[in-house]
Amino acid sequence: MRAGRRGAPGYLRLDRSRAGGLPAWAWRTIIVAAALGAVELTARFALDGSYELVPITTMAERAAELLVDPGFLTQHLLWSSVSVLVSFTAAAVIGIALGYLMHGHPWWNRALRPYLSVFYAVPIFALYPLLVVVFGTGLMPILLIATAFSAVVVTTHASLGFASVPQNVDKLATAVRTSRSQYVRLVLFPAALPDIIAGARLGFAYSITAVLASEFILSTRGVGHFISTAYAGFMSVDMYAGIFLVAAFSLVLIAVVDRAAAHLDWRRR
Amino acid sequence: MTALAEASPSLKRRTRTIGGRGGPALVVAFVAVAVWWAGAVVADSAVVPTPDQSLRSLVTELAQPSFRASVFDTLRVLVQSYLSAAVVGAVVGALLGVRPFWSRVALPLAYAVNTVPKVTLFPIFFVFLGLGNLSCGSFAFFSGVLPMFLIAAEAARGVPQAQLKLAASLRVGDLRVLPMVVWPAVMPAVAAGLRLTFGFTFLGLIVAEMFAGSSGLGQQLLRNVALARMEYIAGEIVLIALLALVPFLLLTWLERRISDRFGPRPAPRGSRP
Amino acid sequence: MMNTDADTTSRPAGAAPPGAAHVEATGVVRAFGPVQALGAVDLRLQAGEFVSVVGPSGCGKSTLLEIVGGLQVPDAGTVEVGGEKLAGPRERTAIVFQDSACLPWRTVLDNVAFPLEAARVPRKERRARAQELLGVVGLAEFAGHHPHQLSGGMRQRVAIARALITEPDLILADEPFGALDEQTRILMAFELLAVVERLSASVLFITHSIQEAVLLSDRVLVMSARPGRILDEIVLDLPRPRAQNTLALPEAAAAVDRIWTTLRTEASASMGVPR
Repeated sequence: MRAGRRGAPGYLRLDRSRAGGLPAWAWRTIIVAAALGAVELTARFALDGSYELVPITTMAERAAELLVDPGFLTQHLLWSSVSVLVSFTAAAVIGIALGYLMHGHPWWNRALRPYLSVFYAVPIFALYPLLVVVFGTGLMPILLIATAFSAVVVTTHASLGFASVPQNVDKLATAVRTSRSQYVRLVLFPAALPDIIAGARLGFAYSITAVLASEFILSTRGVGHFISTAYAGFMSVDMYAGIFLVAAFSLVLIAVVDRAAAHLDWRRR
Repeated sequence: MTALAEASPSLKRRTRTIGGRGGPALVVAFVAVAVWWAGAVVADSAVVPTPDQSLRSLVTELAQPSFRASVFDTLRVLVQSYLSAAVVGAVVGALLGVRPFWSRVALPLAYAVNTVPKVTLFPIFFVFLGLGNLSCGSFAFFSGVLPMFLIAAEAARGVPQAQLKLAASLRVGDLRVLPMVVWPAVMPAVAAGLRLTFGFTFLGLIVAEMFAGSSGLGQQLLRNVALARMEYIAGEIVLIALLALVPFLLLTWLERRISDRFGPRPAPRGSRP
Repeated sequence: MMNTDADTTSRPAGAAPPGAAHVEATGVVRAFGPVQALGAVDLRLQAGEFVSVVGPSGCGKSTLLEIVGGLQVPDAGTVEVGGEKLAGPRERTAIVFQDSACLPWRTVLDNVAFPLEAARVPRKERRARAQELLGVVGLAEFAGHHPHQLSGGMRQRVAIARALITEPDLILADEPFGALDEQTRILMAFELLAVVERLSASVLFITHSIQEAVLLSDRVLVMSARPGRILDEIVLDLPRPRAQNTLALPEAAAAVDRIWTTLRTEASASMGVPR
């Protein structure tokens, strides 16, 4: 036993507002700046114009150019955006409907539950080549794979949400004799909303991943295709600009979704 | 984030009670195979193979040494990348999670990186590491390590304050508290993380192999697309599903054992969606 | 129930002589950022004395207890325990936490043995001690169970056995029975009382139950709403051993009434009701 140690051990320090005189946000900024700066400097001086890495500033410049290039916009960005939006919307509708079905019908719950839990263990993208042979390299195989990839996470969360109505609230709803539609509208959906939102947010990210991955593997258009051809053609400025765009877009979109979700989610008020 | 939400304990509990009564699930499997078969017969073409054709071509392929080499290639890279992702993610995550200030600094960044679709980043792996097992495995590692890290960090953050206070009141030091309290407390979450990480790693590996087209099962798939040999593609998909299912079931079993042994895991303190 | 007659607990050697100031806290102040949790508080515990602290929720009772336990460092003021200035958790102080703080992955026996493991006592010895103490709290046959297989009352008994295993001369109890039902908590309170009387340990007992405080204590301190200060001190000269009917004594009834009157305004304040 050590005696006479000063104060409680470190792991108990509930939290502190700063370390090394700096608050958390400052450290975060430093880490981000250091990472970006390291890429910039490595690309500029250490690798010196080789194709492996381009400076962040070059990526951003080229990304800005791409954003006003009508060819890129219509051929690739629009194409990918439509794919993401359509597959995400379909996934949200299917996912919520399946979640509702599983909530209301125990048979369906038992029938589907094992498949939902195993779904993401199987690399479903293995199906994509098959879909390409059946449907050709158009929008269809991408939409199918992205919808399936995204719908499962929405379903899991929605069914979790529907099951989260507190028992007391259920009893109250019975006591005040709500009709079925009132129950769904006033109790079931509001109770499930935070989980549905969380599921939809993940589903959105999954849609983006699925669309890009399919475009990488086999496609004729889309941002994924753009990056992949740039890679194959050793055009690293274009490749990194594409990656930069996707990263920036997904960060901004998810941040916007989070903001909106914070307003809707009664658990975070 | 993904992984955290999916690993939620209530979800797990329900999966367990329902998994035992598999009747309806078997019906679904049966109907799915029947629909596949009927569809193939109705289409009556080379485009849609029957399950029976698919399995036969899988057997034919497995007889070829070159195909078996591809399968073993994929498996070897999968095991390497999965194990390293699991260990690195769990250890680094738990070490960060017990430090409240640094968790507040670093976790938002990790979550942000996690929202960027990882597939976008994989050309970078190929640019630096070349086409081959090294880059495919590195990408698979990258796909798995971040979710595992986030799960472990959140779990370590969620170790009940009362248990830490108990340790502190008994004058347990900063290092001894890890084996005595923190590791056992995060074990159930880490077990759930192991299962989820496996899926992410395998997915990352197959996608990378398909993109690189230089080795493994992913390359076999693409080769058959070029040759439009549907029954081979379908057979390979069945094989991949089987390769995923066996470890998945093992990890589910392990997770159950661990949560029985170490008790239900504490809910994450600031559980984020 | 607790087997209080068994002579299985060994008496601690060298408990401070009765009458010596065992805990001496002077001018203790603690703030969390802008929130002033604890005003200047003075606290004295004689050796072997049982002192309760009651007060409205959020008044800093637990903060005071954790400061005496060495888990928190006060912003100002000094704390002496057993004649020495406090520097971190002390070996012969045991804390009983509100939610029992059982480690779910350990068996009941290993939970009780935990403090000795922390003190690097050999496995065989600490398990023997733990088994002995499980007998004292009436859980001998549950040694191999896990905490989740026990009721809340049994888990709290595990926590008490765990606190006693180091033979403490000071026990700090932070609403130890707060999560239990009324009947269980009264029974548990008597069991705790019997055990600490035999150990002749001093007890600082945090509770929100006025009856519980009066029933158990030599002295009750009443704390104000945040920032917590000591508003009143009631010395209870009630006969020992205490029993259910102790509360029916006129003196006890008067004490309950006096504490309740003091607390009423404070409780309203902490609920946001105008005085």
